[in-house]
Amino acid sequence: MTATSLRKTPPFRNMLRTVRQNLKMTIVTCVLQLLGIPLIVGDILWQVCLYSHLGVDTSYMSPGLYAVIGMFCLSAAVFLGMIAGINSFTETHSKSRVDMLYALPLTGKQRFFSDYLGGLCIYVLPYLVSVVLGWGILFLFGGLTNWSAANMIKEDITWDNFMTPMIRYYAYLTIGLLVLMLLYYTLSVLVTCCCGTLFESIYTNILLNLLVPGCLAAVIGVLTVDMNFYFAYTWDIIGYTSPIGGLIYLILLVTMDADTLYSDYFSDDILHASQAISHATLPNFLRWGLVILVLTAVLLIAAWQLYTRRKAEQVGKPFVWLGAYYVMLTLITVSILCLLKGGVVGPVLLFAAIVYFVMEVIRKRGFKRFWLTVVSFAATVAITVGLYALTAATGGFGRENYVPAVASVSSVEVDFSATRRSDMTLEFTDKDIIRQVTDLHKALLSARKGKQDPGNAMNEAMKADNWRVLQYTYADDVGSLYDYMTEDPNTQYRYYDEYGNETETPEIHESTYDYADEVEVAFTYYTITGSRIHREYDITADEWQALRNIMTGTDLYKQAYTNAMSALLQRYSYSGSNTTGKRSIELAFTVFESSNYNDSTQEQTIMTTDVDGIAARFAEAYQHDIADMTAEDFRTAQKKGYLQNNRSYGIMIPIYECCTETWELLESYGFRAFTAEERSGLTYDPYSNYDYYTDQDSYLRIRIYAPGTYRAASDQYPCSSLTELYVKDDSDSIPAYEDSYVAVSGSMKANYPELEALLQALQQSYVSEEDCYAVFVNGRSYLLPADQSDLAEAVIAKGDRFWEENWDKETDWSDYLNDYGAPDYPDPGNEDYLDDDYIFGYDYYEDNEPGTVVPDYPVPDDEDYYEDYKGYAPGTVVFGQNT
Amino acid sequence: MMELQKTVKRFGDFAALDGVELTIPKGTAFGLLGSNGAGKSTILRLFSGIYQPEAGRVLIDGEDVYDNVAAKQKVFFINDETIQFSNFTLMQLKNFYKQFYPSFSEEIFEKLETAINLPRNRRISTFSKGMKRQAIVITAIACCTPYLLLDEAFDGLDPTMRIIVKKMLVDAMCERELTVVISSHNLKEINEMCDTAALLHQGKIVFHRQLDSLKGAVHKVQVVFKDKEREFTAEDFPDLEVLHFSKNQSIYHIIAKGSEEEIRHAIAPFEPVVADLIPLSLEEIFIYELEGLGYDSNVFA
Repeated sequence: MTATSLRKTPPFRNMLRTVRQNLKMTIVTCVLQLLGIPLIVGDILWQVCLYSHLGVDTSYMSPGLYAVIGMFCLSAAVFLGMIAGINSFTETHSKSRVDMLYALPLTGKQRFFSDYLGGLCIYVLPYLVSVVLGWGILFLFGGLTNWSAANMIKEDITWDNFMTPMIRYYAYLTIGLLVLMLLYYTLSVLVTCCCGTLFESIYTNILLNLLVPGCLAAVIGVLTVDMNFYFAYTWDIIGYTSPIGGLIYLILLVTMDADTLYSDYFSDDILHASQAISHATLPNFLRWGLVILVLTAVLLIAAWQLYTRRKAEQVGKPFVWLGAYYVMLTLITVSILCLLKGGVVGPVLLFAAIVYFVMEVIRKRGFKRFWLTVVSFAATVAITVGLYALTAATGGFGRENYVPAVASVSSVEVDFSATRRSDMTLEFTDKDIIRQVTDLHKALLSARKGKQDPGNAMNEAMKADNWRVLQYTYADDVGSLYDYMTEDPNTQYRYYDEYGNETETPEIHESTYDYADEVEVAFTYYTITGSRIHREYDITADEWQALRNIMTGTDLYKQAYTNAMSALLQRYSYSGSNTTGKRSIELAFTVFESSNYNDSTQEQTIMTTDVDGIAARFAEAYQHDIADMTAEDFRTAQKKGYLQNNRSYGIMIPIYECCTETWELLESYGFRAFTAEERSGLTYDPYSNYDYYTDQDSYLRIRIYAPGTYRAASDQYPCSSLTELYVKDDSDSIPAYEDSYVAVSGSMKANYPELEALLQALQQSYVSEEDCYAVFVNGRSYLLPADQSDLAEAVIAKGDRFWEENWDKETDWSDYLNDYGAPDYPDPGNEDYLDDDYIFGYDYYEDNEPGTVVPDYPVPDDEDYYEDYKGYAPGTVVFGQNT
Repeated sequence: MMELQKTVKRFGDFAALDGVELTIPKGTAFGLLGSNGAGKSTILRLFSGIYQPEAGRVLIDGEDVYDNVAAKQKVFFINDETIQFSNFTLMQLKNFYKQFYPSFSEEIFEKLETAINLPRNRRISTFSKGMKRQAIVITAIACCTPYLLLDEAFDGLDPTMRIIVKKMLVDAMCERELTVVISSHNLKEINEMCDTAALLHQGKIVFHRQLDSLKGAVHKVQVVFKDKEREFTAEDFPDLEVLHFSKNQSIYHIIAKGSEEEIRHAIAPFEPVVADLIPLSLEEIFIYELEGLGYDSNVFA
């Protein structure tokens, strides 16, 4: 059929009729669409090009505001799809239009598809034009801008890291939005075909668009909340089943892609290596797009069949096909019933019943056969609750404890915490590794069976084994500690009033759950049939260690670090000189990175025109250095420090003592080994954790735990600083020595030689079968080899002597009591530590006997007030004792 | 030829047409009469392919109409509303229908439009009710379909315009053997326009015949019998189909079906002193026929 003859066909003419009939809406849609995407793209590129290429300050041009207006226009235009669907099928809800349109010499099929295409033209054609305009703007700015590094004033924006992803995301978003618009419009047509009045068409459309994703989210949440894994496909399911869900999915997809890109280029905090084909954004996008298109086709066919089967005389009935109504009613009811999970039964049932009955009365326009409504409501409640119970009883119909057979898995992706700061993603196709992973997965499931709260598996697993477990301390690879309290009241933080009485009921520290979440693993199995099975778990120390035993010895683990080494140098290079074309690689070599940010860091800048060559040499050297390391080697090897980029706290690449080739390269660029003091972080202020700095003095914060009082949680490595997860028993956890104020501004060697000797002997990575002293320096943990315990005892003894010698000075030592009631030792290393100016507040306690415990709070500067509790002694301790 | 063959059309539990048989020959001006809800508009919508029958067939020239483009192109239906055309101008309305009806005649449209002189480029929503009617009627005639269905089509037209429109229709019938089916409560119009009519009541056809024969088939008789003592009833005249029988003093009023001869023959044995036979108008036939079926206007008397 030629174009001319096609134009003469009645269906084509009816399509034009539909367009003409909606002329006003067409104009509005055109205006909104033509403003939407061009404004968004134009605003972004305008700013980037002006800022990066010309160095123009765009801040006074209201940057971003045009993009916001564009977003508004685009959103409004996309929303109009619902109106386009309803308006294109006026014969479904207007009696006067029925006679006119049904009497035309068209079949029902011709009328349906010409109406459908007419509405689609109104809705989609302006969008397509705006997308083309957007491409034009994209290439206009991209083409006019000289993206060579030498011309970039702001060197970190390049064609590769800005325009390439921009083009990709533009394609994803515009194509994805087009697909969603088709779904949204078709859904609107389907709903319209099911309704007989304009009112029902509009409200059913709005409700269904909201209810499908909302109800799915609620149901998935309720069904999986008691499972022992996190259900990672919520957005997959929602994103594949509704326009709004799809829009969120699309944004998440692109955001995750951008996040990966951003991580790769700027943050680089994910170590990644894979043996398998990439499961990147594009395949996910294509799969999603295909599913949405198939869903759209299904809806279209359903709409067509319902339209051609509906009778002209049914116009005016609220719902011609009750299916749409009952879907809506069920979704509303089920969504409300999800609230039953909260344990509030009566009000929830009442609320659900009211909504159900009101909707039925509106539909029936009265109370006809109301008993049927009551029965159907009761059935809906029974089925919903029954399905929920069945799902809970069967562990999600077996999905909770499902681990795929090794033979059915083509690859497995394992996401885990390689260190606290660095997550690692490794994807294996090796069947042996897959078997080990599935075995570990089964062991995780087995350990969680019958647990009360498997969602917080770490706490529960540990409690089940030993109810005495009181406190976890999670330490990262370099020794920083993050304490949190458990539910055990014996170890919860307590609060006291001014008289020393406990004022509040001990509460679970919020960070219990925050930090519990950080120890987790995710398995993603890609099966040979193309499906994906994803599970996430919180894990215990031993489980984490078992996982690391599998992972760290693998070639992929090494490859991930080698990749990171290469990326570190390549991606963090900046244009250094416009004349020479040299770029700078800014590296930092760090030891003792911690939450206190009191690292010892060396920084070097490599100026080169051969960034790729240097990156390759470093990667090759590092690959050689770690090639023969076993899992045990990775666990126990001493580290010289960490290599990272000096502009951010991105990924850190450990430089082990055995990394000779890499170290030679680093030395050739000016790096040197850290001194003992640098390794101790002595040049930094420990108070930085509290957000203030002292410029004059530097301090050390020291805690020493006696052997056996502070040990690793792992039974496998009871005395290893590398297991990174500690169990601290309350009764044994009082430090043998604790001092937060060791002043080291002078010579530590002169003032405190015992401490210096101890610091030199501390081991950061140490595994021992013997109990030994655990020492925390500025919050970082070390172990002292058992044969050098005398060094710790010397420091403790010095503190003890101080108290013995100075006890009779009638000094207020209240400020030196720690949280455990033991003294924080005044700093024997401070030359002024015996001066009255240094010790303050003693006037108020001059009448007290030695050994009286005074409350650990500031003393009010009021004689009368002091008199009130002068004789009050909430408890007595003998200063100097360690337990 | 238009046919309904045992056609059933239901709206829920209500049977609008209950096994109706009807044939309308080509070139006929056919009037559909009936009480409200009798099924007149339903028949028109069935013939125009808007409604699908639940049972039986609806045929135009031997073809089922529903979902049949070829059959529907032979029919133009004008319903009793004009609101659906509000957004059109006259020219847009013409162009719209011209696309769907290949037989559309620009010449006829121009001729008719010139005759009634409607504004061409003003929206129809700004027209008066009569002007809207004229607009759709001239468009319908210009479509040159063999069958034209009019549902209360003359509603809103002033007397002059009625004559003009009727003349247009008559001309079209004469020129191209147009079949017109008119549904109206205005029996005078049916009487003037149609040669055949059918009376519907509660989904069934009460009668279907040519108007000329219909008009001579029912008579009103005013009669005084010789035997004034006797009380006559309708049962005394078994040979007559009596629609109405009443007595005022000594004068009997009888509405009966049959020719003048038949009626005179039936009452002759009772020696009528006076017997005046008056042919009924269509309106009177309508009323008395329906009264016979229990649709009595005296229920509120």
